[in-house]
Amino acid sequence: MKLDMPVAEGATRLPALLEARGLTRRYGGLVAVSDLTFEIRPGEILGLIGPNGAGKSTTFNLLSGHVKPSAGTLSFAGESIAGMPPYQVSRRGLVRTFQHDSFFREMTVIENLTVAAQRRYRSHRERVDCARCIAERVGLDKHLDATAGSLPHGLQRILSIGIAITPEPKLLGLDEPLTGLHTVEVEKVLTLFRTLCRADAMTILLVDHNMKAMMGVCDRFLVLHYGKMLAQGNADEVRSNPDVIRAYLGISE
Amino acid sequence: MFNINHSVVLWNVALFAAAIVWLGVSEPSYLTQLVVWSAINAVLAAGMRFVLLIGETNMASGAIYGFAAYVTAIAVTNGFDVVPLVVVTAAIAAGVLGLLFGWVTLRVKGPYFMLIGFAFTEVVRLAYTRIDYVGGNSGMVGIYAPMSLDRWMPALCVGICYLLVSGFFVAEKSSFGLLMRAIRNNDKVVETLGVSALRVKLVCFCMAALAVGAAGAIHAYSYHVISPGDFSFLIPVYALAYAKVGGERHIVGSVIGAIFLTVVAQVVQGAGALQYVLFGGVIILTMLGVRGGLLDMLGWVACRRRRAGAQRIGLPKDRTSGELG
Amino acid sequence: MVTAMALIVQLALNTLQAGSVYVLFALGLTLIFGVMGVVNFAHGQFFTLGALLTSVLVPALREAFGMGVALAFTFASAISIVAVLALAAVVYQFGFRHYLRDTVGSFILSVGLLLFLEGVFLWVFGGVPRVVPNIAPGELRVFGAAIELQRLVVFGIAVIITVLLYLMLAFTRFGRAIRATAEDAGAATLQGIRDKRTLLYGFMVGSFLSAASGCLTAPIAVITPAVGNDYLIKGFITIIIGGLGSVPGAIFGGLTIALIESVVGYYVDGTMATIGMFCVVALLLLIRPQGMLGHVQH
Repeated sequence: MKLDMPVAEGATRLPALLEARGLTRRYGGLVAVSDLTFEIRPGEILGLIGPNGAGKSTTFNLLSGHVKPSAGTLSFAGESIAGMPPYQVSRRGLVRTFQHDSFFREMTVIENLTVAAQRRYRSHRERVDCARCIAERVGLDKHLDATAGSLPHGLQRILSIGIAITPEPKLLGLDEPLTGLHTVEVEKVLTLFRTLCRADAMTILLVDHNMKAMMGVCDRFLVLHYGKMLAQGNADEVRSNPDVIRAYLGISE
Repeated sequence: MFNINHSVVLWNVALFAAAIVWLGVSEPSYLTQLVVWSAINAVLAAGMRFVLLIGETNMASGAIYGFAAYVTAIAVTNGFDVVPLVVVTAAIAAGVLGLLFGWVTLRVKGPYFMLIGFAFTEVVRLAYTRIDYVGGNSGMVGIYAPMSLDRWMPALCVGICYLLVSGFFVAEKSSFGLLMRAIRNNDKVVETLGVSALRVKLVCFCMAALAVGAAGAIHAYSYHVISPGDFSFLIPVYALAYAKVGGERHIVGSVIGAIFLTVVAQVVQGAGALQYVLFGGVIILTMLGVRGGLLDMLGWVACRRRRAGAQRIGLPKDRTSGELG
Repeated sequence: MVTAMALIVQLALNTLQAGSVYVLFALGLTLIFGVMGVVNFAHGQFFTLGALLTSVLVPALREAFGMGVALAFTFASAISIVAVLALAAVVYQFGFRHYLRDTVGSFILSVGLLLFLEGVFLWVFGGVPRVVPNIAPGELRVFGAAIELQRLVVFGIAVIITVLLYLMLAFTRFGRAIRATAEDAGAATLQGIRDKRTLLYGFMVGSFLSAASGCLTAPIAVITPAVGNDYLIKGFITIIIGGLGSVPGAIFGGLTIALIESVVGYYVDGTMATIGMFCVVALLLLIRPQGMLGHVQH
């Protein structure tokens, strides 16, 4: 059982889980992100926001190893992960989802989650049991034999999250998990986040465009603009930051 | 997914035993040869299908199959006559070749992987024609099992093939099989789970190479004569045809397809140029006809009879009829 | 005694001439893949048909109408190409149309087609090797190297066709439609019927290129029903080097393999040249899995 620590207190005591310094990515002449310096603290839900083209996807991909940095350092749990291939970054405890289809479309829900348990257990039986367990936790236990592709979008997102939490990640990165969902489905997913964070003290990095939802669930924000860090802080700090307001109206909604 | 259907296992064992006994007691004849050839082709088909599970078309199987056949020929010509040992050695040699090839090429996917495999098969075939030690263009002859074993060779060959196909089936149903299918669906997500997709693909490919290698050894022992022309791109092409024509959905489809097309090939054997026409024609007709191959055709037939039966009794029709296991 | 200069010029000439035909063939293959998502294994059979028909019709036309070789060749090629286009239309309509974007399915279908057509050609034309008489007797000497005039003609025609193809793709409405379909099949489908016809015409243009390279090969090589298979392997190697769906890639790849073939063919022999090509490709895959100019695969 994980301790139910209040986040703010815990965050200042423990060392940062992920540290980025001067993180830069260039594509020929184009600079996608430049000189990003930030950290992600254990147990917090961090929101990465910014207008389209601000470099959110690139930053995300830099952290997960899908894109290699042109400059800067990146360390996770004290270890440098810059330039590591994605599967090795995942092994260190940083698991991410993808914006589209972050699951196995032609396989059933139970098969999806059994695959997710691949590295956590050695025997097939244990993996299947783990899969059932995760399905129950995320609320998919009534759909075990449904093909993932036949599920409604909201449940597919939940399945993606279920797959991502199975390896018990230290840092869970969710790439636009709320896109295309109804309000009801959004609520379901948000409740799941809160449960994961509070009950398991899981650290979550969230990228999404649904500002209302983000404001409601994130502890802290990183605001990007044209590839640069514009501001960092909690919801109030960010909402009242003049640079942020100037950069794009509508953030305070 | 995890349940063992006991009746299926029992039927399999019974069938297997019956086949082995029949092959053992019968005099070697055209029919027993046909059974052996069908068995070899079933392994090729199952091997092709196994790699299809990771979403790749393995056109290099011709080179791997031929390599094992040549290793067997060399071993036999040099006096090694412990058949199981030779088969195992040839299989391992094939596995190593598969490992080397796969390590370089599995970094690319889809059509690229298919084309490079095709090129590999053809280039290796060309290489054989230039190496005098293996007889160049004329190939090698006199690949026989020791006399004492001669009577049992068909049974041994079919037995090995049967075990190989069963091996593919077991692997497919295991966690590793799930992992393979997951890679076919979405390899990026598999990597986020800490699994190296390249490594899984490589293991899958090598497993197929080992089995295809064993089949290659059996080929050498069964045909007694081999030459470079036997191992052209047509080997993987036929393997793919067996698997698709039979029905890709289940491994039994590969076996059915292999048996069916082996028989067809024999039927059109003497027709010269027309044998290509007929064989090609059969493939085209199947591809344009029923997508799911023979399995679906048989299923459709079985389903209609079930429906007709249900209609007579007045039961509601099965909504999912037409879906096979 | 062969001077270094003469050798280099000779190899360069051989490369350009052989390469121009490889390029045409590969362009057809890559175009069909780019537009339809289909790897057409029977592409070599269209080549063979073009070559076979030309090699049969040239003597026939000469005898029937007393034409000169060059004229007979022109007519024979034209007729062969029309025949291949007709076959391509049938093959598309009844076959590939149902297997668009299905790489494996279309591949098996094309394999069945390859076997079927190979058998038909063997049956109809027999295995007799055929030769077309020299369509432009004489040779050109430059810097001590020599090239047959007819090879120069073949090279010239191949280049013209390539340039026309490029212009068509870049500047005509049809060319734009083809590029749109190749870029994003999904978006192109939204345009409905026009897309289906684009696919058919794209396939026919690709097959035209295959047939044209076959016709052009007839005068300079010995033609048997198996001639297409050799081109098929080289075509595939070209595409891997250049990248599937890339026009400049096909050109680059075609010239590269022609170069390897000329150089290795000169110092060793043709078989080693093919093996050499393959090794180059394998090396390339280790370094740049998407081919020299191809796009990164999704």
